[in-house]
Amino acid sequence: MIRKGEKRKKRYGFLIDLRRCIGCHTCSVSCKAENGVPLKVFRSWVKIIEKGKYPNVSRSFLPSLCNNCDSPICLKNCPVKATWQRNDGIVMIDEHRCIGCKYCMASCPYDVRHINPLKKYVQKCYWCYHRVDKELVPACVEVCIGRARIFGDINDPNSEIAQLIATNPVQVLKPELATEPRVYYIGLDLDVMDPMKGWKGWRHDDGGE
Amino acid sequence: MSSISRRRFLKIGAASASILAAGSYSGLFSEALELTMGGGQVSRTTGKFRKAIPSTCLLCYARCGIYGYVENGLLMKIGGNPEHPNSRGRMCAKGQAGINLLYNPDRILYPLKRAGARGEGKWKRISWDEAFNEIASRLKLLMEKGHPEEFIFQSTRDITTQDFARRFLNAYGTPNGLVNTDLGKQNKRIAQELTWGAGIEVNDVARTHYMLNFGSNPYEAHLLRTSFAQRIQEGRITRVVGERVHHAAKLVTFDVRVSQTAGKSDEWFPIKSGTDGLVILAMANVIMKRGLYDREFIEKWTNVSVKELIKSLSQYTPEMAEMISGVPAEEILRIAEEFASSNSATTISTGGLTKHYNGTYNERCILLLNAITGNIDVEGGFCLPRTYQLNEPFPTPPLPSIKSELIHPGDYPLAPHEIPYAVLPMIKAGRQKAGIYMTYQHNPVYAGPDCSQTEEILKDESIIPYYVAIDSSMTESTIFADIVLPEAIYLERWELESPPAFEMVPFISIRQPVVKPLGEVKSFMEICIELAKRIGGGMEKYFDFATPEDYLDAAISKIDKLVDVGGLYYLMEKGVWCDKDEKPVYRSYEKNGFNTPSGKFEIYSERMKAHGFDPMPAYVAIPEHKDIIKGELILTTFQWNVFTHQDLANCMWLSEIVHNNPIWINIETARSRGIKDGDKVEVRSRIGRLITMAHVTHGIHPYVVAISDSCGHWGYGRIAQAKHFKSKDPNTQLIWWEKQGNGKHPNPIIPLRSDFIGGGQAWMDTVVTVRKV
Ligand code: SF4
Ligand code: SF4
Ligand code: SF4
Repeated sequence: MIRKGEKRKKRYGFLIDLRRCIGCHTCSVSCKAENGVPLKVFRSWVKIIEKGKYPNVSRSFLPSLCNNCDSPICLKNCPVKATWQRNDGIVMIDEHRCIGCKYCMASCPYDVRHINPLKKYVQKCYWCYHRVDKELVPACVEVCIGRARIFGDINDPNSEIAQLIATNPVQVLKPELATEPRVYYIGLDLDVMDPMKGWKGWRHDDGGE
Repeated sequence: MSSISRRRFLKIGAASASILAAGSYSGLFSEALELTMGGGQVSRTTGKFRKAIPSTCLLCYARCGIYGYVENGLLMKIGGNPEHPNSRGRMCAKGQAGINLLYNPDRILYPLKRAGARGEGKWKRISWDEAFNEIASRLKLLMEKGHPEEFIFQSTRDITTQDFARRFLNAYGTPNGLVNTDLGKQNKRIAQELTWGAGIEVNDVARTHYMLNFGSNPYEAHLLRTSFAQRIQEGRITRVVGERVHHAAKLVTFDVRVSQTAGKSDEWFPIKSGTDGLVILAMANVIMKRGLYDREFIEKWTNVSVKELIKSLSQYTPEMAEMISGVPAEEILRIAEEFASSNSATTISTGGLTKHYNGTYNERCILLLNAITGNIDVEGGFCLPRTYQLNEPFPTPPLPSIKSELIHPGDYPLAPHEIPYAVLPMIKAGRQKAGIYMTYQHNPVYAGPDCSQTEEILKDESIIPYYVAIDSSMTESTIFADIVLPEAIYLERWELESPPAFEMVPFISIRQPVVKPLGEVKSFMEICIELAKRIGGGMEKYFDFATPEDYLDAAISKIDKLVDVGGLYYLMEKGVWCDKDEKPVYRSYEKNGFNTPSGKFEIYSERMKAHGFDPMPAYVAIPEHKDIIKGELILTTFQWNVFTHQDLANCMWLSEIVHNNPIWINIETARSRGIKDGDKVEVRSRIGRLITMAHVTHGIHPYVVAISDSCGHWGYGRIAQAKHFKSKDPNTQLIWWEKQGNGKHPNPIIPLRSDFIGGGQAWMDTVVTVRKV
């Protein structure tokens, strides 16, 4: 219980309500626009799969981004301590320290880190901490057409995200890995989680490189 | 514009928190300290808030509210405007990538004059003065010769600027202003105007209980895309609205293809191309026969009786509809019953329904279905559009008295809006002589059907003696121009918009420059003002505006409440205005009736009858589909979620996501032809062939194939052509999809073919064969 006047520790979380997602890729593009993410890499992506046999066919979407895990294995595996975690949980990369060894990329089970093709150090999504620090939601949350993306303090029981987590069954990706991911999903589809299923990228011929 | 202050910022924050509560599941969290949804942006390096300039997107017809975030005169980012009543702060991928267009390395920044043979691609930079003088003297000559109608103007969009274009053309004296050019909604518009006197409907999806979708894909593309899709999602979620619980509405989609929308619908029914009208009529028949209709609306507000309807619809049995459309009769029955017995329901329909030879008839069927179930202009229903009419500043030029075949083609007596893609072929056929052809943001070669025919016409100086293109970059069409004028894009110019309001209270939003126009580019309005002055001959008195802002100011001068709060200054500061005291009122027709000759909802159309068309909503089979032979397929087109059908492939963030457009083919259809996923195939129509890759899928009707129409540019910018190159932006060197190519545009093999009433291009009707190569 937190008494009046007492400061509660902030812990940010990210929720994607797949009942509301329309697979529009606005999140993918808004991230590029906000963070100057170069071509060839994405910090935010929407995987789209088609399921079923004609005429019973449907689609599932999986928007993904860094989970800013509570127990980030990428951080543990960085030999120069370039990856660190803020008190509010956001996992950061010190770009000056990063030596580009890619250990973290290999250890992240979610494949959300990348080498910046222009600058040669590792980058990833950090939930737009520069915006969050100014009380703005992350860029992808702002424009999400379906309002499927909810960001906020999961330690504040009154926050929308905490409410949604409390009142809905939620899932995380690869829970068995003890990374304690902080991107929650409502209505996650098993097939879309399967890396072998569906189109790899937006189209089956893509996938970046 | 003052930069956004922290105080104001918090205010916006509070406002969006309350919107959030209303649209949320529980409303409980409203006490929480939430972060702000939008309206501000900070620099990543300095943490400082950037200057925020409200404006309006125009990368599609939805016209969402945006903010341009600017630093040192450069546009750094585009965000959503949370106070825009339609888009409510949200945007789509295209809108986010608008910055790619503004700073596109292939933009034209100076007037260019042809320096080689037509179409050769040799240009000489000239001054605006020279360009204006040359164009004005030619226009003047034509006017003095007494043939102003030989000045033919064509542009793509129907927006404020088009009012200005009309003014210019009227003042000049030519009737040949083709300014409504196809948004694919032509057949829809004509059917609607004939039936209930409006050109477009607003589907009140956020409040509805049932959505019945025929051939529309709002999750990816729609006239009112972002504003519409977000409300569909709202309607599909159970939530508390005020005191009431809104139960999740069902979404049922009939489409030839599993689009994002179809794939996320509660039910998807594959349907044979162009047979939607019949399925809808069969549903209407079921509803009438089983007494599920709204007697009061029919008897009081339409011009037919229940008895007549029962009688005339009885021919359309579900069994007959099944035979022709492939949709099982029992499903037609069930969906009809569900639709009619919902508290409120609305159809959703666009291109898949109307871009056919029988598109106008199909749309009439849609109107019928909504009317007999009493869903016209009710909460959760199929509503009339609420918009503001702008004032035409005095003095207004008279309408040209000369009649024109281009505008009122004799073979399309009910299509007063021109047949956009037939314009150049009609000129070629001698139905209208061309002296000067001018386009604004219009790329007829790429956007129209039968691309090579259009190319040939534009290339031929005996048909088009002089061609002026106003555009922001070279395109497949501007290459044939004699003069290219560099256009200020939507982020650099002034306009007003009043799109149909989803909250049923009309509003006005402004488009204003968020940055100083690049190079020497000028807005279309500035070009018209200057040309009018130089042409003279009385024209100039209608263009007595020092700047486009003067015109806008006059255009809103009759909206007292807006003028009271500061008029244009208010809009410049806030981006959008709506009358806060006005409450949404449904059944607006009860006041003055419908805008039709009878004042009724004209299910029976005298006007159609007078021209020999079926006066009742009807179905006709598509002639070329009637005698389709075994092995032939029907080619349809569609748009990806990151594109419209024309000019966005030059945005690298969008092309990176979609740059290729293989042909969608059903798995069984492919198997019988020995085609495997990724195989090269030849697609052949009666006018041409193309080679592309097969995308083998369960998500398409076995008789239909589909190719998107946003890729495959051959004369647009380098990014659109998947080329990597050096420029100021290091990203252009990272373009990695060069090997995969930029896809194949389907239009070169789609013949010019119009709906026999509305005249809209029948994009979805082309008969093709597909074989492995
Ligand atoms: S922006 Fe929102 S609705 Fe669109 S794909 Fe991303 S999460 Fe889904
Ligand atoms: S998702 Fe990967 S990169 Fe992000 S915190 Fe977790 S382990 Fe690290
Ligand atoms: S839907 Fe997208 S492209 Fe269309 S106006 Fe809105 S943000 Fe712009």
